[in-house]
Amino acid sequence: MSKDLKTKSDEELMQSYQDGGVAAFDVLFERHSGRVFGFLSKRLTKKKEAEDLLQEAFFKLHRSKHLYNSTLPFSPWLFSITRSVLLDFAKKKNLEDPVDISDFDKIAIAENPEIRHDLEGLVSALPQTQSEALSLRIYEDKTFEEIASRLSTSPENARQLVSRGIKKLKQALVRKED
Amino acid sequence: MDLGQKNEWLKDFTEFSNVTSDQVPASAYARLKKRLFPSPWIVFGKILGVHAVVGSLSLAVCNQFGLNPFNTQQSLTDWFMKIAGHNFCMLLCGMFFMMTTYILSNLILTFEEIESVKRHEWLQTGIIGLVSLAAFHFFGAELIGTFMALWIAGALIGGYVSIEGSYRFRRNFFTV
Repeated sequence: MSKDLKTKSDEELMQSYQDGGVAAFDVLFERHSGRVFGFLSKRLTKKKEAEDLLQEAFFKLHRSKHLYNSTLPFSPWLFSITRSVLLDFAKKKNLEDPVDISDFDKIAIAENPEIRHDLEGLVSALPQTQSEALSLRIYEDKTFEEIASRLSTSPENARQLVSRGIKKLKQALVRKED
Repeated sequence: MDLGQKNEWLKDFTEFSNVTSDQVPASAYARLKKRLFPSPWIVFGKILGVHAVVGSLSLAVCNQFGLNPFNTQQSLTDWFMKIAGHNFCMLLCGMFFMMTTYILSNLILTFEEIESVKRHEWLQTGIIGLVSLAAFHFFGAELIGTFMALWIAGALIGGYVSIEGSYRFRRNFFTV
């Protein structure tokens, strides 16, 4: 790997990669793959899936390199690719949608005290561990790892508890609206 | 993107920026590299295979150096000769011969393989052109210096145009 390439910024490397400089890809992968892998591993329970999606993210980066505008920062672009790969994977696998953060946000930003009160009531009506997991996730913004250690369970189980809790909460809210 | 989605994106991006790097297995990198940058030799082998079939069949519509294995009555060569003269006809025949191969290669090659061809387009086209001339000679064609040079020039131009065209077409319409 050329020393010269290692001193270049991500944006310069992408430009070089767009111009056909294959070696620039190696440097970009070396710099960012750990972070992408870390992010994916945190969201997926199986290492193998995270590894596959890491490859998919960099594959997508390769295929859309001509769309990258080198005057803009590289990191958000790489993140957008990683995120879309993750979302596609979730859709494809028809997962239980355990990390639908928009749901959490909608709940968290509910300013209306009445709705908040209703929500708290609904959350506390859930089975104890589910309610605890959901409260930690929504109100304390804990990660699945943190929830898992608090509830003495695995991150996968914590994720499932939250996911099922959200589902029940949604159903309860729909019933209430009707 | 509405405000909620923006917030969600920002939250995820902050997490992405602060996440602790994990050790990436070496096998993942090796597999990715193999997928992104296929061996030029294997790709060349595939192109050569396509060329053997497509090149032979193309003789049915465009005779090369008088070779007409399918005994067809009509040939593009006659038309090229009529509109452009003998020299230009050789150039156009070389172009046609090479372009058909590369254009039809799109049916079996992945985008990454096309990219690999593009990296060595002059070399690969030159070798395929020379191999084709050797095959014509083997099957009894009479090769004359100037015509041969014009034919090779046409093949190189045809190769370049069709590889670049295929690459851009696939990149813009079939990759993302």
